[in-house]
Amino acid sequence: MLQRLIILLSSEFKLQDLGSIHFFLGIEVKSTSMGLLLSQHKYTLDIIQRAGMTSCKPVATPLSTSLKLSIASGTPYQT
Amino acid sequence: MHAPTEDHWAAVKRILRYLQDTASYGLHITRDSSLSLHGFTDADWAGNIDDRKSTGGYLVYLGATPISWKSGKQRIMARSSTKAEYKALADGTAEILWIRSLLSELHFPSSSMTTLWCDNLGATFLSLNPVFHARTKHVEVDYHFVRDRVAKQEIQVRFISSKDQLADVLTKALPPVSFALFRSKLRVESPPSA
Repeated sequence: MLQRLIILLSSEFKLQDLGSIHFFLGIEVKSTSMGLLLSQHKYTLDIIQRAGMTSCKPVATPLSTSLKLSIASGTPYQT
Repeated sequence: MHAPTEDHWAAVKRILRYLQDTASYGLHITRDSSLSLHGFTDADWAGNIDDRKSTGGYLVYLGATPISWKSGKQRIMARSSTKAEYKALADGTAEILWIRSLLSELHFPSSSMTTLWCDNLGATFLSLNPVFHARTKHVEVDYHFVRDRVAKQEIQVRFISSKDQLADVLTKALPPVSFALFRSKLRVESPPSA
C-alpha cells in the first residue's frame, strides 16, 4: 500500500524516496520493534562537549528538590 | 539574568550532568490505534521565592503518546493555588482546542469530549459551577473561557489525585524515584540495547 501511494504521488509530483527516516528537523529517529524513538542524542553530546563536561559525574534528576534559587541571596558567580 | 550566583551556576551544571547520563534517551512513539486526546494540567503555586509567581504546565496525549507539553512561569500573580491551577487549566484548554481543530483539519475529528485531568478540586468545580464566581473575579477571563468550552462539550475537567497527575513533573523538582516514574509515563525512554 505504501509503495502504491509513493507511485501515485510521484505521478503527480517530482519526488525522491530517501528510504527510512533517520534525521528530521534536528531530531534523530531510531526505529524500534514497537515504533520510533525520537531523540537529540548528538545535539546533547555536543552541548556537554562544548561545556567541557564529558567526564562529569552523572546525576539522576536535573534539579535538586532541596535547592531554592534566589536572585537576592548567595555568593555572586565569578567568572 | 544579570547577577547569577554560585547556586545558579551549580544548577546549570547539574542539568548537564543529568543530560550526560540520559543523552541517548528519547520520546518513544509506539503503534497505537487510539486517536483519543486527553490532557493533564498542574501548577506549583507561588513556587518562585523572589516574586512568588507560580509555575504551570500542561501535557497532552494522543492515545498513549505525549504530543504537546509546556512548563513555564506564569505571568499573572495567582493569589491562591486554585487560581494558579485554573490558569494552567486555561492554557491547557487553549492547546487542546488547537489540537482538536488540527485533527479535524486532518480528517480525524475528535468524536468525544477531551478530558483534562486536574489535581485541584477547587479548579475542577470551578469549571462546572458558577458558585465561586464572585470570589475569583480576577480569573474571570480564564474562567469564562474554560466554562464556555465545557458547556459546548468540547472538553471536560476531571479530578485526579496528585500522585497520578502526570503534569506534576513539569512544575517542580522531584526525587529520583518519582522523577523516573513520571519520565517513563511521558514515554521518555533509553534506546533498546542493540
